[in-house]
Amino acid sequence: MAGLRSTDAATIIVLGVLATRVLFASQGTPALSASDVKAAYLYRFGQFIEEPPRTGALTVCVVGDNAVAASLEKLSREDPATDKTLVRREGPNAAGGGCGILFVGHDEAHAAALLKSVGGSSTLVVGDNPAFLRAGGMVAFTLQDRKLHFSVNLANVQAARLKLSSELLRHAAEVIQ
Amino acid sequence: MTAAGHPVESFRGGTIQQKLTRTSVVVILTALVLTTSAVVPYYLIAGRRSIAGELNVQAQMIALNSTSALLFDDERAATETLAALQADRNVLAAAIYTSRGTLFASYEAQPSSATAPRTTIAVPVRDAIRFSGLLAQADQTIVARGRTAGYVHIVYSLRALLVDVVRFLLITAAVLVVAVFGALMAARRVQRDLTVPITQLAGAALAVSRKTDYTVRVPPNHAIGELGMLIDTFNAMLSQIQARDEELDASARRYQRLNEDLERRVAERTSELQAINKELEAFTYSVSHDLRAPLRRIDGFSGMLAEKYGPELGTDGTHFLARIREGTLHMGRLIDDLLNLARLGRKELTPRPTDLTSIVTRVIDGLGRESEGRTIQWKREPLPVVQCDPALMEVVLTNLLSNAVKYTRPRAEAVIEIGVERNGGAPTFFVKDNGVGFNMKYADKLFGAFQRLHRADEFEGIGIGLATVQRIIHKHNGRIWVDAELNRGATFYFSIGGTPA
Repeated sequence: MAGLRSTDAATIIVLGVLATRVLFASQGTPALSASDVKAAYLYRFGQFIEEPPRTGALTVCVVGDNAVAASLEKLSREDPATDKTLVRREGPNAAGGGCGILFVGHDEAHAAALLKSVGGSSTLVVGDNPAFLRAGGMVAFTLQDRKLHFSVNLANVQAARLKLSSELLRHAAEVIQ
Repeated sequence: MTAAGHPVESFRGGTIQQKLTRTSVVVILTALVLTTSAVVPYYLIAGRRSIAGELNVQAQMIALNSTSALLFDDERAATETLAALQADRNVLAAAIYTSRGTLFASYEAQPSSATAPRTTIAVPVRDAIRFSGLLAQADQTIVARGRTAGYVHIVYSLRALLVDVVRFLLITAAVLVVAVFGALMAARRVQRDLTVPITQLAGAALAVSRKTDYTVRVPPNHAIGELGMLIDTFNAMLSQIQARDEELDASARRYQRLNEDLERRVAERTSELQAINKELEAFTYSVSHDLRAPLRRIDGFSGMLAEKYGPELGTDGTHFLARIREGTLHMGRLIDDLLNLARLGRKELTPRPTDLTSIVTRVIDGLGRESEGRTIQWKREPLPVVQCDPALMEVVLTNLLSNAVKYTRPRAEAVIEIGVERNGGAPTFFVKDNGVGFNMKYADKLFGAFQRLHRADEFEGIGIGLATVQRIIHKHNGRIWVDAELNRGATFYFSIGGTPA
């Protein structure tokens, strides 16, 4: 009886998963978490960095936000391109060396020190709130009308000898000169 | 149709002008219809191809420019990108869909339910350009880093192409109108140069053949080339014919005048002659009549002289007296004959069926005294009964037969033949003798009054018998003529106009 019962439970689970998938597929809009969207944006920023020219894969480093890091890793796995983006989780005191993009998550308490350590290394530093831009950050996510946007501090970008595509700037909610 | 006042009949198959006009219009129509039927499909095909190319470029541009908008979920940017399509008025609507098929951004030239983009589409969508009715629709996949980022959909109006075709057709129609007008003008020009002369020529030919009017001329104006020559020749021909016609008319008139003149003169002469004849007859009659009284006195007194004084006159005196009395007797006969001849001119015919045979018998009997002591062989054949005046016919036969008896006197045996010849028409009677005859060159004198071919001492007579005979025959509308030879006898022929009774 117990065996039979466990089989029934497995069947129900499988059916439930299938039903969920079918439901999602039919809606066409699977529920994306804020971390997923942030990860997708980070993943796509790489395509719009014009200077320095990239050779080989882009490394996206994440500090202080494990959910975003997980989402990024998932995206990287699903990317069919040969020069797929590499994802690196940094420790709390990481220097961020070798990162094309460094995302400083909301859990990072020493953001200012982190910014200082990557200065001059041509790393696009992305923060999680607009205040981050005034602290020397280059790009920051911002939530407007329950939708994720991003702003750019162009002066900080240029100071790091980086050049972003105008295409990317076009989609920015705010560009600080 | 009339041209230059010449009436023209309806021609077989229409006039030359109608044919020219018809041909020109048919040629123009054919050319334009062929051109149109070739150009319009080509225009449509070429137009579709160029629209397809244009749409493809537009769709790819939109796809390229909206890639980042899709990547960063930037509807505003995508809508701006689509708004650039308003530069092309033929784009009715456009939309960008996400890779999942939900509407991301849209554009409508004039927002309406008809052009509003669907909110979801079935994915994946194949890249293509589809034509349906008055619309062309383009679908283009938006690709980013080898993955489908979304889809572009553009709805394009073909109205402009259609307007172009309609405009082309309108221009063709306008060209047609102008060309037909030109053809008509050209036909009119050709008419002036070609058909007007021909029409005039035809009209003139008709006038000549129908009314034999040779005065018509074809005006030589506008005629060119061979036509001009034809018209000149035709006119020259007409001139010749007209001249000949007028000449003929003139001579005919001349002859008519001459004829009328002759007739008038004949009539004048005839009436003159008739008047003279009448006078002559009256004169003859009165003279003869008046001569009788003195003659009777001469005869009476000479008779009384012979009675009372005969013995006293002696032989010579009695002989002279006898000669006087013979003279008066002869003169009396002369007067009687003259009176008879004169009377004939006045006498009316009283014709009736008359048996000529019995008249001949009676006449021969009456000639007994003259034929006394003569051997005369009478050859007779029965004569028909004819319509004539019996008394006058007896005079005719008496004269002819007594002449025959008289002029055969030198013959030992006289042969006198009386007969009739029938040669189809009226019978011809004849009296033939074997007498002295005469020379035919004097034949025309034979029937004149007092005309004699023989001396009176040879053959007695006063030369009035045959004149009387001719007059009677003429009164019967007949004819008398003679055939004779000197010393071989004579034959008198006569006919009477009336048919046999």
